Amino acid sequence: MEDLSLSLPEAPAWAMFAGVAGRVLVYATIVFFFASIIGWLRAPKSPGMERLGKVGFWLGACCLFLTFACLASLFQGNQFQYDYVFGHAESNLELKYKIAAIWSGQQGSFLLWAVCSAIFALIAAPRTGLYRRWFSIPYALFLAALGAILAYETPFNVIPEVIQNGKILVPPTGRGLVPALQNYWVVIHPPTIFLGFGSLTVLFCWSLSAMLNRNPIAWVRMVRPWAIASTAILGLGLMMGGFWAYETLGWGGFWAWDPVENVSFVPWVFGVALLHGLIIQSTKGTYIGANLVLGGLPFLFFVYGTFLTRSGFLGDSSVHSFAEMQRGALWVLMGLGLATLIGFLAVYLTSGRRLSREFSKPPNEGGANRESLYRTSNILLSLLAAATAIGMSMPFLSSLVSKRNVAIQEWLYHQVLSWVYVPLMILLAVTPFASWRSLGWKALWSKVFNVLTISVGLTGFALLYLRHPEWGLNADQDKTTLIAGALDVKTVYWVAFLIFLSLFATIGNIWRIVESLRRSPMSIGGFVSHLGIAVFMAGMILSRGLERHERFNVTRSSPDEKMGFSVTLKEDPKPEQLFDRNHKMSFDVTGPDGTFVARPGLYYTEGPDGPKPMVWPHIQRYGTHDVYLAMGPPAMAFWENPEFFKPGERRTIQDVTVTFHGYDMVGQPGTAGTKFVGKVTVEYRGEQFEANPTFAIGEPGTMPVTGQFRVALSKIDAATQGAELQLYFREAVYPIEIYYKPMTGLVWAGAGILALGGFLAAFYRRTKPTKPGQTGELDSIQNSDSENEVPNDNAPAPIA
Amino acid sequence: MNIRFGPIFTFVLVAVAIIGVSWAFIANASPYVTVSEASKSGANNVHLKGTLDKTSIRNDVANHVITFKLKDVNGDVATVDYSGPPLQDMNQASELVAIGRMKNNRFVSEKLLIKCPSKYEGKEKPQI
Repeated sequence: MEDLSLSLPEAPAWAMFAGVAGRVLVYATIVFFFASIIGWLRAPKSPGMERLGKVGFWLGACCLFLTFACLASLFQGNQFQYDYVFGHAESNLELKYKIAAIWSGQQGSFLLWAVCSAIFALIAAPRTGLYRRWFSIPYALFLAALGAILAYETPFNVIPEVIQNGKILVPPTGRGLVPALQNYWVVIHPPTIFLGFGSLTVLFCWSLSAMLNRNPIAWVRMVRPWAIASTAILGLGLMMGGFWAYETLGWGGFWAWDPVENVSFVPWVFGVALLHGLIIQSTKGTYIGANLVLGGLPFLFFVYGTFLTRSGFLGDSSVHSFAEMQRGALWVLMGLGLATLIGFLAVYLTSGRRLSREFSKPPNEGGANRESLYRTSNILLSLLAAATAIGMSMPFLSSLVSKRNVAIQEWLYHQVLSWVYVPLMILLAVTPFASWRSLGWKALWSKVFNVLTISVGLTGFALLYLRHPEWGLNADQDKTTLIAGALDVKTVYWVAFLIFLSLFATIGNIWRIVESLRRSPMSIGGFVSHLGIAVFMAGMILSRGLERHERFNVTRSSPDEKMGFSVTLKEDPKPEQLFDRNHKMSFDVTGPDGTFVARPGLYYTEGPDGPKPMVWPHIQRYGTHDVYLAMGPPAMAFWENPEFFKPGERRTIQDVTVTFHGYDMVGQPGTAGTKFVGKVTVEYRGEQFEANPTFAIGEPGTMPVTGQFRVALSKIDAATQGAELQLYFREAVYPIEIYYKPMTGLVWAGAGILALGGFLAAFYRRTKPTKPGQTGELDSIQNSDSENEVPNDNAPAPIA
Repeated sequence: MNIRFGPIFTFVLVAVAIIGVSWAFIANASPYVTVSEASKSGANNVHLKGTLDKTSIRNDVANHVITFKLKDVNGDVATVDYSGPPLQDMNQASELVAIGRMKNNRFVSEKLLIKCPSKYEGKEKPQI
């Protein structure tokens, strides 16, 4: 122990400084944000205080950025004396994975959340105009609370064991980044999604400030580009997460309703509802109270979700195994969640509701106009989010009520959410044709009729296509789906109905895009993103609903054949390559689309309990479908552990009867080259084999073949003349799963269209920063009022 | 009379929907059960949670079924026949959850959830 420690280098001074600086900076963050709060609170009385508020906020944010820089430098410089660095990185990681490792743990992800929130605060705050004071105060409070969590659970702890004789030594390497995370998506997905989370704080603080400033009007125009950006970034992050899962995890799917996915999905849906609410308010001057609530909900639900996933209550129901937080930090997070919830509710009840009544225009005349359809879709969107949140909370609620855990499975989410999904998709198709002035249902119907007819026709073709596998799309015809818990229908028909909804929405929105190109390109962003949603959902539904799936077991000498696919292993991997990160297997896969070489990844990392296998799926993409091949680690040892046999002993382990008759020694005892030759009989399923496995000192022994197995002599006990035997498969068995996933291309296309639509919308809605003082309170109210009289440019053109 | 029925109607509708959703989730949730509860339950999606007896793992090559024993919190042991996709970390798993149903006193499962203690947050310290 001691001599090893002498060879370890001592920690460099810069690294020890970076650690101390990181800790100090976290405390400085808290101090500066509190200074900013005091400054802003006292700002109306003394003008100099406003300066303190602004400067304090800037300094607090800069301290957060510097904290992140300190942590990043420790990762970059391989400073494994720090517990957090040791736990999440290793010396030979590529730089991009060292960066990814920064946020692969609990503390780092909180730091990333804080940094992303602070970035948005610095960009948004100067543009908040008259709302800036009450925008900055809760924001600073929130960032200070994140600072407190980071102070409790600091990533700058030095491992106690590396301090020897007053010196801090640097271990040569760390435990490494979980191999599944070593993927390019992990480098870009977390920063994107955390930027999305950070942007939620902007929406929350802005709506809070709108209530506290008693001005629920002016904020609507100002916050709109932020709401669009927030939804776009969060949506992009969500999709990247799905693509990462698809490409690396080998589940064969994009989305699994995992609590961690839901934590981001729920705020996103509320954000989408807010977007539509803002459009209602800026056009009709109503929906004021609802917007104030919808501005706060995404953030509140995200904090709640973070609490759920980090508290350990979800325990076994998530595939993401999060470490439980330290109690102290968890209490801070819980306090933060409760304080924001109670504070927000209190402000809404005392001021928001009254404001909503004071400022609201008279309600619309009813009938088929865009406002009523937006209101309906917002109720549905909120229900979608609420239902998902309820599902996500079930394990937690159940463990509170009955002290036991439950799980909500994928099919149950689908069953429940379909009730909301179906009307939502119909609205997605119909609403673009409604105008802000009431038309009456008849007029709306006449506009939609053409689109409906075309989509019904196309659905017919789609169904024909689905029912004829020989035309290229080989869907499972016999699978059934339970609808509404009672009706058992063929999945193909249910999928066809869902595809009809997507087609309806797709054609409706394309129709409106074509019309708007001529008249008002400004409104195109919305239609394009709706088109993206429709295409994306079609891809998700087809690829999951009509998926076919079969298991294969392949060895070198025995290919496996199922589902029209035959899988052959060309050659066994060379042992020396198996520790190479980039090692790929080679299987010849012959299927309905011809032959391709599947190259799923397989490699081993040295773990504390022996080599750990790591696998990557192979995805073969075709125009109409993906063939997704997920290989499990090969099975080699037949017995889980080697077994000790006394001479003459006969035992049956896992249906194989082995008799050990003893061993002979060849050569001089104690010298190199000495061989022990075992005498073993193996009986399996009526067959009997004699074998002589050898065990040699200083060189590999032999493992003779006995039927389906190889038998190995793994240890000799001279005292008892006994030996340890192990049975291996004669050939390694490669377990393979092949998923046939139709139309996955639509998922990618839809995601792309959706992102494009989001950025188009944000581009046309961007606002210039307003200086405080320029926009007086009354002024802005009147301004927006007068503009509200003009119906929005989203009004559709009449259809001839 | 100037009561606005729209909001009231909406409110009732939303309340009913939320109650409906909660009921659907509660009624169909897959509970985590012990061995004795799994035997009584007729459901085919119960989550049986327990610790894995590593010495009991048996690999039926011909039928591709892995059999092992799972011990629950009460100390009751169930024999699990697992025929799902192969797993990476079965050896390192301490606790696992088998999803499936009881059939002829054996737990038939096609899906396992495995928690590996060393996967994300290990307890090991550097060797010095």
